[in-house]
Amino acid sequence: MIVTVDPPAFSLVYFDAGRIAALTGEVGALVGLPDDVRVGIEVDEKSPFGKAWGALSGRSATLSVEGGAFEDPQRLRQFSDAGARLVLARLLYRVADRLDPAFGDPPADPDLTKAEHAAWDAYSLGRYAARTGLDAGQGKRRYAFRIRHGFDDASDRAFDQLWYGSGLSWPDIEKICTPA
Amino acid sequence: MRKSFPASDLARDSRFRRARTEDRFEDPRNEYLPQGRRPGKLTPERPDAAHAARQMMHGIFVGEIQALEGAGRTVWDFDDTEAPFALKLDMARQCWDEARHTEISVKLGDWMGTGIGEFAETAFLYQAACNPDPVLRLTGVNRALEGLAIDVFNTMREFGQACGDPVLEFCEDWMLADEVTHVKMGSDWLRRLTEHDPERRERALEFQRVVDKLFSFRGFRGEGEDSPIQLARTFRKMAGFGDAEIDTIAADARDDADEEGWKAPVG
Repeated sequence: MIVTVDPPAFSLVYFDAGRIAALTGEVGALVGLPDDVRVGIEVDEKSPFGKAWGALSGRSATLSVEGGAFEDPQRLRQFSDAGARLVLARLLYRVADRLDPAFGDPPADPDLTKAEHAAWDAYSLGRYAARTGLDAGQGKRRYAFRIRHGFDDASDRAFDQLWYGSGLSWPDIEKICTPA
Repeated sequence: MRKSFPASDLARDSRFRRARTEDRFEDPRNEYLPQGRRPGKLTPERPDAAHAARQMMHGIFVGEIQALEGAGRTVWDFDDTEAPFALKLDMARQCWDEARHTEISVKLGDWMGTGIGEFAETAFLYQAACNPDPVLRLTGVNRALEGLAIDVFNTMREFGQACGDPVLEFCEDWMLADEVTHVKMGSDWLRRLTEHDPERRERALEFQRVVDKLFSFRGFRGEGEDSPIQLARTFRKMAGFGDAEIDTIAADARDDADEEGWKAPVG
């Protein structure tokens, strides 16, 4: 996997491009991204907000990240390894899924509904949790999922199917999230 | 035991991390925030709704601890000539409420997926409870801080309602009822203690205005559609605020929101 980080140096936040590239390589290997895939990370250090999204063109992925997404919530302008790993896992699993012909053809990130975002995030971080043995913020993801899919048993069952699932395709995810 | 405890010495375990309010206002990224790029009112429609709600919940949690500490200090810091016993008894009762609110907030945080100390804590709420004059302290705690609590709880209650979260909605509703009582206590005691001293009442209300401006966080709390914490007029009026007072808080928040350097508070 070929990783580039832009900007190469930060002046407003205490981030290190080399560290971001190293974490991207580490998480990318863990999610199973092939070696020939190029991943460019564009960090907007001016933004304290936490939006992060990706786009795939051929075998090249561009991840756009607002600086707040990598920031330590306890330490202003400081980088959080643990937080960045989760953001990268969420985005890189999407890249891996999009590269997999068996996964299907999900809409581009900006075209996903909030409910679809919540569902795919649950599936991505559930797999990350299974691979690493970490909690990966299951409680946070469950709450985010409930906001989009309802505070009821059916929604919790759907979340569990996604979080503990593997080998799902985009139609599977859509089906899980469709009320019976 | 010493009196007038400084914020720097508040007891916290290793899970907590203190942040300086000044650092947030002096964050160099503030100057790059595009006009109009503000998080907006806390509603489920916001893409970051879950994160924003959890962050606000953690802010409520540390706010409850500091409100408990503030009310507790008032029980201890003044003798009966400075503050009537009945006032201190009210503050002791308030401590009981704040302790319960702290526990409820921990459980709500857990419900929403947030851990204790996940976000940094600032001490500006407690700092408003450090005035050596009991009347000014009362306005700082029971009218400014607890008034903010009314706004925050109502915002969270409405958020719970809007996204269909019954746990959040009911917990916030119950705590909101207590906060209205706390502010009512502040309004009543301010009137009683300054009945024959209009100059002191004026100073107390001026102090409250200064604190309220700080608590509006440059428009983070206000009546604008882009204010994440909405000013809760109805509940404030139930607690003894007059329309003119609420208008002043709203106007100050609007003015401050237009200043440069807007930054969301955390904790």
